[in-house]
Amino acid sequence: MGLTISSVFNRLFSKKPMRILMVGLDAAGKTTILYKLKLGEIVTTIPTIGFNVETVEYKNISFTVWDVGGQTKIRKLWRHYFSNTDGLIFVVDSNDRDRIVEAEQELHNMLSEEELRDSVLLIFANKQDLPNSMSTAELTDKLKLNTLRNRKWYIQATCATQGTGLYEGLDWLSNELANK
Amino acid sequence: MIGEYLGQIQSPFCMAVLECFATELDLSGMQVDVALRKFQQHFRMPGEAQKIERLIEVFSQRYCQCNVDIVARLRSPDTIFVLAFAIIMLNTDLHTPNIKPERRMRVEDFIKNLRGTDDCGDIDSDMLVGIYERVKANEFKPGSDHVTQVMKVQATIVGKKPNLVLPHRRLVCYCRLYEIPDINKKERPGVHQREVFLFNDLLVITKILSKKKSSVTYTFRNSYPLCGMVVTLFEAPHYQFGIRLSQRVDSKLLVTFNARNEHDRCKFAEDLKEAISEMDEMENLRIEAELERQKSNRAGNRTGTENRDSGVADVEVCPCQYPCMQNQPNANENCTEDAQHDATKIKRSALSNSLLDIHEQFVGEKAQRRGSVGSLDSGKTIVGGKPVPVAPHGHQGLFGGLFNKKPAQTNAVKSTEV
Repeated sequence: MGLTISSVFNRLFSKKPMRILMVGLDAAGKTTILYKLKLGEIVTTIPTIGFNVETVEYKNISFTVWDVGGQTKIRKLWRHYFSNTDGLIFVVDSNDRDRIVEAEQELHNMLSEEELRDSVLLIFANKQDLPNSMSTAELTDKLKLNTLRNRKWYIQATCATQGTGLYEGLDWLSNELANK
Repeated sequence: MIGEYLGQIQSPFCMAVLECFATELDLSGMQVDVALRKFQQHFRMPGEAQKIERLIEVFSQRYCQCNVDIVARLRSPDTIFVLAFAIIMLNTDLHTPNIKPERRMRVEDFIKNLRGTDDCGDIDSDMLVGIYERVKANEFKPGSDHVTQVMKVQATIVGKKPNLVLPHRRLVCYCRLYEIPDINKKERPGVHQREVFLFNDLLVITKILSKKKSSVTYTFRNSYPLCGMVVTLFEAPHYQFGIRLSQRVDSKLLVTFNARNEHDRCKFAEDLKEAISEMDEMENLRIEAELERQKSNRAGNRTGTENRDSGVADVEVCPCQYPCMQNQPNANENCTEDAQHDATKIKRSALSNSLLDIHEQFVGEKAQRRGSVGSLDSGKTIVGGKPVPVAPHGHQGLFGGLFNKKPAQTNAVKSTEV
């Protein structure tokens, strides 16, 4: 009896841990997004030397977000994290038309990793505040999202500096992950 | 902050500085992690993967130069790069408070993760165990720089205060002074005690809040930028060691202090005056550079909307939406298609060479506005998905506010909802 109650209680109130990797080209806005999500929480500790890792609690889910990036040479090193990854956030600079092809390649390279087979994909079309930015429809096309098979994905327009769109994206993630 | 500077991958100058810095280090005869520890102690490593990657790349090149014998035993020199990157990852994994202890890497995981790294071969596992143990026992710690000191001061000040930690700011001196509310009124000695922190560009007045054995905390009272400040010393019947601070522009009195003794007053006033003259000089240089830039822009490009005099109606000339802040005259080739190129150029020129620029960059970011929301879903088809172009709006750059008189248009709010 006690066990049942506590398990019900846990289901209702405990935070489900999720590991999220955040990828994208440099200057896409990953760090800004990460710290915008953390906003309002008091950061007292001196950050650890190395990669930005943050735990964001939202809607009963505790997201641990790793800021990942880099060339193929070191991508192998993320294997350890890939295998436990529930979701992938890909951040793209909607205003950077020069590097959209590069971003597309990076995304598809990432998705070809065997360990990421089951992870859902959230795309943050960032920097929507800039006047020349591409719309989500245009980005869907340029990033060839419609060619993705057996992958749940979602593209969300964001502006990290203002914080718009970020939680909408997380809403989708938490829904997807809850259904998993 | 130095790490932030060295990590500016888009600035060739910063990258050159990074390489020069690396050649100054002697890493010979060290294990990779020991050398890496030494390397990163000189600055605070930034947290972005791409920046870390660049720093590690330079580190590994230097390591290979210093340790030809170690590298010769490996199949590929890239191995050092990958290994060093893995060490930084390990450090984060083992020491960040954001990972639960049970999810941290164990030594087997570390070795497994590096399998096949050395050009399909494995790195000696004893070496990896050694690295793991050392990193686990001893977290990588940054060395301190002037910013670390400012951070420490900031941490002791409570209450509503401006952010003090900026790349260019350093602490010059600290002094205990007594504020004088009314110069003609005699008061008990020791009242209105103030702890004054002098930074190279700012004077921060605080009051002691609590004093414990190990730590003191201060309440923030006020802060004054040094630029354009005037210091006068005076002697009044009740206040022997008076210091008066005022503004040069309108001689408005900012604050009056009494020092404890002549020595304090003399020292403090000296430091303060020096800092003020430094700031004034900087300001003059900034103004000169600004005028220079304006001149060269005007000469180089007449169609650009930047720097135009207010009220002169040369609208419709330039479809370019980035009317501000360009160092290179060629960056403004007045055609719509180039607008996005310009955007990146602006970004890159913003990443120029001084620490002050890093700060301005952050300030610039705040000025952005956004007004469109849209999202698409994998599960659904796009209906009526004709993208509506977002209306251009005055993008306020770093210096844009000074010259750009074009009123900022409000954004069209559109939604490509499916």
